[in-house]
Amino acid sequence: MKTYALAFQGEIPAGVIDGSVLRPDTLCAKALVDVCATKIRCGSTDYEIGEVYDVTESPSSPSPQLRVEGAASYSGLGRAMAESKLVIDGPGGDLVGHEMTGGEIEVHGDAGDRAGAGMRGGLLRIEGRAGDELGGPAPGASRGMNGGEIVVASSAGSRAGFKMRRGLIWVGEEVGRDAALHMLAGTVVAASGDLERAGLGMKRGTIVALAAKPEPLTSFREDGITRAVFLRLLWRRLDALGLPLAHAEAFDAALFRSFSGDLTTTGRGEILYRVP
Amino acid sequence: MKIGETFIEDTFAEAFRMRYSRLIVTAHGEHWAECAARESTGYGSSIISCDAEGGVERFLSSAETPDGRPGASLLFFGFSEDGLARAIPNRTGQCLMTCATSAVYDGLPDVESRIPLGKHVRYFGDGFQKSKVIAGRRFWRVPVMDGEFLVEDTIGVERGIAGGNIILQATSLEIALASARRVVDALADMPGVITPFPGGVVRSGSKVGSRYSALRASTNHGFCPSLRGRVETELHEDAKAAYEIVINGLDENTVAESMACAIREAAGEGVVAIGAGNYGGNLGKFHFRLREVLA
Repeated sequence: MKTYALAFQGEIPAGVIDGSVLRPDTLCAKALVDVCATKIRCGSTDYEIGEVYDVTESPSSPSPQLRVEGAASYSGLGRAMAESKLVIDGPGGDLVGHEMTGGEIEVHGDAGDRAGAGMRGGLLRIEGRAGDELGGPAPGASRGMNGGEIVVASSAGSRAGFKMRRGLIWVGEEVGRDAALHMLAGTVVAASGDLERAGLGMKRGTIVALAAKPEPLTSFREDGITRAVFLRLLWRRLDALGLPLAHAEAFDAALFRSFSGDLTTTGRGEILYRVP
Repeated sequence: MKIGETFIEDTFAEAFRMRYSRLIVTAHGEHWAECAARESTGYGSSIISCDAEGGVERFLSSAETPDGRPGASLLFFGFSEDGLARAIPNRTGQCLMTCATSAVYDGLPDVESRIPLGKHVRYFGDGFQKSKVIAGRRFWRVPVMDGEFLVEDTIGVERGIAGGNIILQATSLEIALASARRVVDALADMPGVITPFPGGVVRSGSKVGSRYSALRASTNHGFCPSLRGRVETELHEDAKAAYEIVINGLDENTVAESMACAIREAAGEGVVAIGAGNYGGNLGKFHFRLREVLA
């Protein structure tokens, strides 16, 4: 397995760039000449990668990675990748990490809508902000992410965790309205900001609000104060992901107001608001 | 062969292939962690009649456990995966879930062969239980009267060895007890082994079979001082009491090293002989010769 870096030759091509071919587990297994000959669709035109990018190869590495210059016009970067690492220098476009099952994607910039849609495994890190429907369903699917972990350092748009089935989403700043809309299971952690209309229609799953005011929808009922042991595991996992929880022990003592809902569905979901 | 004045008999311990699981139990404070550990490994002495042989591998500091609370690493041995799959959920339900503040984790998370734990115990939640997958491991949150009982969905099962042992003989009860406790204290710090039985010591060493057909095992009469006049004794002429230390471990090397440690710790003034229990070599796959493990 090799390590490649792809930088645009001059201007970014017009139209949507099909990023689904830019996945490290397939490209890094190819020779340089084959990588350059791989087709990539930009707008309505098919190009070879070598026509659009300057491709540079690094020596074989035990931890191969694909490094791609970012652009907001990408769609589906790293789609369905199963292993290795994809680093995006700049915006990741829409559907980054779409249906990925393993490996790691780092977006050194913002991500567009539906980042991690239909994700089933692996780790998606977004250093900037994420658009709408983070971890939501893949196009045409009825369920959102079914595994894996998404870490957004900045904010996320509306409907983060939409129809999420399994997995973990961490958002370091503001989360847009309707977070965890129709959530089936999984965990969404919002480190700051208010959670407007969070958990609407959720069946199961957990929303952890570290800074939000405890103002859930009226279809949630308060269970009381909790210091559930599973949260200690969660802090340690977030700690291991390098999130700003450098001292998980500090959170061990934190108390949470627990609300069950959405009572218009099964009522088995929960929102945990940290007690200041 | 002698260590000081203690004679090391030219014999061997006969041990068996068994399966084991490791549970990591934590609780709110060392007191409750110890309560959970002791309760769940109780009645875990001999597989002859118990559902599993269990013991505390070692106690863990809060820095060593998955949830940052004090805990203990427990090992349970059984003849088969099926046996462990019955015994461990039972013990978890009766002895760990009932213990204040406890939580139970798999101590062999990377092992492929797995048996259900929380998958069964969760039903105590009567439909109010919730699952949570963290870092690829599934846990069950069972609501209980002090909050939630957290238990891992499945646990790993590995191949281990049970039945390593030594039998020490001393010139008085006090010397025999002191010798046995030295052994147990030394083995308590060794990873990968447990000494099942009360305090890690067996006073009722057994032989296979009995004159009563319903019994699979009976007292090892050759080591009973009170029968010296009635049977062919296996006791040293100066011995007044004997104790057996049974050692279960993760593999052959661990058991052999533990037996060597046990022999060295047991030897001393007033300990006249150290031997081992075996069944003529016909039952157990593993034979640990005392003099060889010391080499």
